[in-house]
Amino acid sequence: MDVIDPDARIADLLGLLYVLNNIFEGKTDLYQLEKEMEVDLDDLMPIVYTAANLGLVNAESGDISMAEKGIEYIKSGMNQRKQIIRESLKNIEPFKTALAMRSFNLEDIIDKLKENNVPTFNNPDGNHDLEVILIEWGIYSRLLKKTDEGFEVIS
Amino acid sequence: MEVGIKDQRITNSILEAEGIYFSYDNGYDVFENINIEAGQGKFIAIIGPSGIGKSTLLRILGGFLKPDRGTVRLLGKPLYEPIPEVALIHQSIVTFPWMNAKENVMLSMKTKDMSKNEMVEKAKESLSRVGLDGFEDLYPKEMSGGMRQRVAIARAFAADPYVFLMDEPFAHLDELTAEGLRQDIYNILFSGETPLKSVIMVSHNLTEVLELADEIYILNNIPATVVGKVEVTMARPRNPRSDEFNANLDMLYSYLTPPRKKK
Repeated sequence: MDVIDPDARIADLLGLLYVLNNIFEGKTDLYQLEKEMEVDLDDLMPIVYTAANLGLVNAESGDISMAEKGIEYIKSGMNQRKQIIRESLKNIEPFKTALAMRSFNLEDIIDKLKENNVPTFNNPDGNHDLEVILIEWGIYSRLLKKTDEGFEVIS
Repeated sequence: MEVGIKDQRITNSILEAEGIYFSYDNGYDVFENINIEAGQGKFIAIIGPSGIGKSTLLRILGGFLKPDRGTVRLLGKPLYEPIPEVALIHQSIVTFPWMNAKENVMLSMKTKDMSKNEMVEKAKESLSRVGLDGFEDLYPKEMSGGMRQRVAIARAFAADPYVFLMDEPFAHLDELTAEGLRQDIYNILFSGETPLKSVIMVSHNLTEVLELADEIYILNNIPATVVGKVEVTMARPRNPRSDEFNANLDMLYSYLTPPRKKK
């Protein structure tokens, strides 16, 4: 299931794409990337999985390479980058569910994600993780806005 | 508790987990049919993405958490609760600040039928084993992070465990200290001077894992399953800069990034 990893941060995405594109010319082994970025598994994999789910990189069998969309992202300005993220989020959870709900609070979307068999946020830290993801990715990309009751999809 | 330590069956398996299923109270399925076996003299590592439940699995293996289904066995006998024969070393370094190194180590002998003199001698012996000869009277605030983790390891040793469960034991140490401790630890663990038979470590540092492990279990998916088991046949000491080491790292990453299904 394609989902934003709860530990994936926007800033890490930019770092990953820059290093992959500029240091490795778009393609390398994941272990080489780990060494170059001086991170470990817990730091690297959340953003690798997320970048792959967003369609910005291809990560298979220990290799990682820039996808066309990832190259476009790197070459774009701030607004265009936000648009790329915004469009990509629409196809992956928890934003796919958010889009269908339009307006929701945290409890509602947690329940809906359970109904939709999305297990990622169904753990003791799930509510907090989900709120961070919705704010960091959703509001940054201008897909969502915060309301008094919770969140709303920007049309 | 009777776990049949003295009634060992003829087996190579020291600690094994068979068919482990575990869910949180809210119904979140953490593990599905996990099978792990730690054999005689083996250093086992468990790896997997962040949040997969590595530490939870270690707690199940130590009898600290009860699985929903499945069995953990020590030397062939079911393990239902924590026992001194299975020692857990946490990622956060646990030493008691009001006790010196020797007194910290003696804590693990409190339940044993030993005189104070015997405990002191055993504590000194354990501290010596981890390279802290002459530092017995230092308090934690007078020690480096690496020294305090050595005290924690010495305390675990003093209980004469059969199995060490290590939860990211080097995570809070600077890289230089961690490297030094890693270099010592394998020799310390399997010196043959203790009853220790097996070690299981979880880690998110693949270099550390490849330096130490004989066998690596790779967890992935939700709920987590064992998606691969790798036997590390590289000769020791292992050089993290060698081509062979890098080839093994590459293989581990390939388990964590399986080919994507075409949509």
